[in-house]
Amino acid sequence: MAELGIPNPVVRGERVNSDLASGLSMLVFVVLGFIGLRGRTGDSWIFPRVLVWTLLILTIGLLAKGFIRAERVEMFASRGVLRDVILFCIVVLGFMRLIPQFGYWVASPVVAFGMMIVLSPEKGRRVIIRSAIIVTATMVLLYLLFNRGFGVPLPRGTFW
Amino acid sequence: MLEGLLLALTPYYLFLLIAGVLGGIIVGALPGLTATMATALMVPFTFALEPAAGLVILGGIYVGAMYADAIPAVLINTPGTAAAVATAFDGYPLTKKGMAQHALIAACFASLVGATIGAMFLLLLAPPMAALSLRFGPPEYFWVTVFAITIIASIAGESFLKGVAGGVLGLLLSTVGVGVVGGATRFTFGIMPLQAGLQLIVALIGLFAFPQLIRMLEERFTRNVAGEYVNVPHAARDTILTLIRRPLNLIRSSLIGVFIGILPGAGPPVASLVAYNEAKRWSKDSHEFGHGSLHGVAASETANNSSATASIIPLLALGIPGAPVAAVIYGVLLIHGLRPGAQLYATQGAIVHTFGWSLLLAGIVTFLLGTLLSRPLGRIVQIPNAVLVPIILLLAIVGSFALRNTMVDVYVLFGIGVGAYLLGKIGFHPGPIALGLILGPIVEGGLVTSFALSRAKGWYEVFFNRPLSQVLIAMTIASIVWTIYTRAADFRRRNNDAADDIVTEVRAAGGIDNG
Repeated sequence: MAELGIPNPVVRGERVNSDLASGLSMLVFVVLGFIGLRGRTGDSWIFPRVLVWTLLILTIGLLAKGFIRAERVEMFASRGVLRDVILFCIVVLGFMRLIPQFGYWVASPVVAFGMMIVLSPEKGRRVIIRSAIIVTATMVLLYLLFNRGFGVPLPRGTFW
Repeated sequence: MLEGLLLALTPYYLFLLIAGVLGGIIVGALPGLTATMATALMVPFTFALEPAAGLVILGGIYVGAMYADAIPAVLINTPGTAAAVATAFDGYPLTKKGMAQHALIAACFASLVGATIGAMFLLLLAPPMAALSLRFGPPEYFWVTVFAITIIASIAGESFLKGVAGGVLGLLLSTVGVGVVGGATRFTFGIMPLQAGLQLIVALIGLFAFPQLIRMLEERFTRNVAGEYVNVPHAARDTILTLIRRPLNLIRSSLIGVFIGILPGAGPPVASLVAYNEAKRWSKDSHEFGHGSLHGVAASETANNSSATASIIPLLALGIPGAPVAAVIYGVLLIHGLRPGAQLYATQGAIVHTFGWSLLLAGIVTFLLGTLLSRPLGRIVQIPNAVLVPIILLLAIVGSFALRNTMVDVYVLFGIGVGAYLLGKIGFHPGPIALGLILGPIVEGGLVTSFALSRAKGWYEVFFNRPLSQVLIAMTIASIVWTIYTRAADFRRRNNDAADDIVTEVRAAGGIDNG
C-alpha cells in the first residue's frame, strides 16, 4: 500500500489512522446503501436516497482527512487485549447459538458461571462457590421477574 | 380541582400510587422493559378499579419508569429507554468519578421538577396547549427534527465530521424495514424479521451496553470494578443545592419537555436530547458536559419527565394519544366508558384532576424512593467486573429478546454492539447514532409528507411560508451559527493552549530565553 502512495491504516503496531478507518467503515454502509437503492423509486426511497448520498459526501470528507491531516489512535493496549476481545465475541456468539438448542435457562447459567470463573482475577474454590451462588440467585431473580412477574417468555430450546 | 387533590391524597390512592411507582422503578431500571409494556400489563388489573384509581396506578408506573431508566444509564452506561440516552452522557462519567450517588440523586430530583411542571401544565393549561399541538403539520415536524439534529454538534465527541457521519448512519439505520411512508420494504437484504425494522431498544442496548461490556473486559486487569463508590455525607443535600443554584436550567428543560411532549410522536427521547443540548449551550461550564456534569443529568431527566407528563395533554384534551403510554391510558379510559377529549374536562373533571395530581404526587414519591435507594444502587459499581459482565450480558440478551420474542433481535444486538465498539475505537460517539435512530422515523414522516403536499401547493409554500415553520427555521439557523461560533472558539482556545504548552516545555528545556 505504502508503495502505491496510499497511507496504511494500521501504523506502528496498533496505532490506526482513525480518519481513514472511519472513511472505509462508512464506505461499507454507503455501498450497502447503494445496493439497497438500486432500481428503487417512490416515496419510500426519497429519505434513504438523501441519506446515502449525504453519507457518501461525509465519507469522502473522512477519507480526504485521512490522507491530508490524519488523526491516529491506539486501538488496543496490547495484542493480549485484542485476543481477549475476539475471544469474548466468539463466546457471546457461541452462547447465542446455544440458546435455541438448549434454551435460555440451561445455556445462560453455564455460560455466566464459566465467564465469572475465567474473568475473576483470583482463582480457587472460594471463587467457584461465590460464582455458583451469584449465578443461581440471578437466574431465580430473572425467572421471577420475567416469567412470573411480567409474563415475558424467554428463548426456549430443545431441552427446556 | 381541589377535589381531585383530596382524592389523590386518600390512603387508598396513595397506596396505589406508591405501588405503581415501585413497579415503574423496577421496570424502568431493566433495559428492554418499557413503561408502555408495564402499563399495558396493568390494564387487566384496572378493570376492577374505579377509573381514577386505575389511572393513578398507571400514572405511578409511568413516572417511576421515566426516572428509573436513568439508573442503568448512570451506573453501567446503558440507557434503560431511549429517553435516558442523554442522561448517560454525563451520568456514567460521574460514576467513573465516584459520584454515582450524586448522579442518581440529580436524576430523581430532576424527575420531581419535571413531573411537577408537566403535571401543572396538564392541570391548568391542557386545552390551549393541545390546541397548539394541532397547528403542527408535517413541515413543522420536519423542521423541529432538523432543529433537533443540530444537537449532534453537542454530542459529537472530538470529531465533528465523525459526529455528523454517525448521525446520518443512525438515520439510515432507522430506515431499515417497511417505510413509514409508501410502505416499501427497505434494506432488509432478504432477512424477513428485519421488515419490522431495527427495534430502538435493541439498538440502544447494542450501542451502549455491549461496547461497555467489552471495555470492562479490556480494563479488568487495570480496574477490577466498573467505578468507584465514594460515600459522601450529605450527598443529597449538596446535589440538590448544586442544581437549585441554576434554576434556569431546570425551568428551561421542563418547558422544552412540555413543548415537545405535547407533539404526538416526538416525546421524551427527543425532549431530553434537545434539553441537554440547550443546557450545554447556555452553561458557563459547557466544557464539563460529557465529562460528568450534574446539570447535564438534570437537564435530560427534567425534560424527559415533563415531556412524559405533557404527552398526556393531547390525549385528555383532544383524544389524541401522542405517545405509546398515552395510547394505553386511552384504552383504559374507553374500557371505563370515558371518551377523552374536551368534553372529558367538562363532564369528568374530578377524574382528570385526580389523575393530574397523582402524576405530581408520583414525582414526589419517586424523588423520596429514588433518594433512599441512591446509596445502595450507587454501590452496584463496586461489584467486580468478573461478576457484572456476565450479568449485564444475560440482561442485555433477555431485554433484546423480550421485545418481539425473536432471536434475530439478539443477533442484531450483537452486530450493532460489535460495530459500535469498533466505531468507538476510531472516534465515533454512540450518541449521534442513537439520535439518528430516534429522530429517523419522525424526520422521514415530516419530509416525505411535506414533499407530497408540496406537489399540490409548491415546495416554498409548504416548507418555508408557514409561520411556525419560519420560527423553527430561525431557531435552526441560530443553532447552527452558534455551534460554528463555539466550535471555532473552542478550536482556537485548544490551539493556543497547545502552543503555550510547547513554549513552556521549550523554556523548561532552556531553549528560549525567558526574557
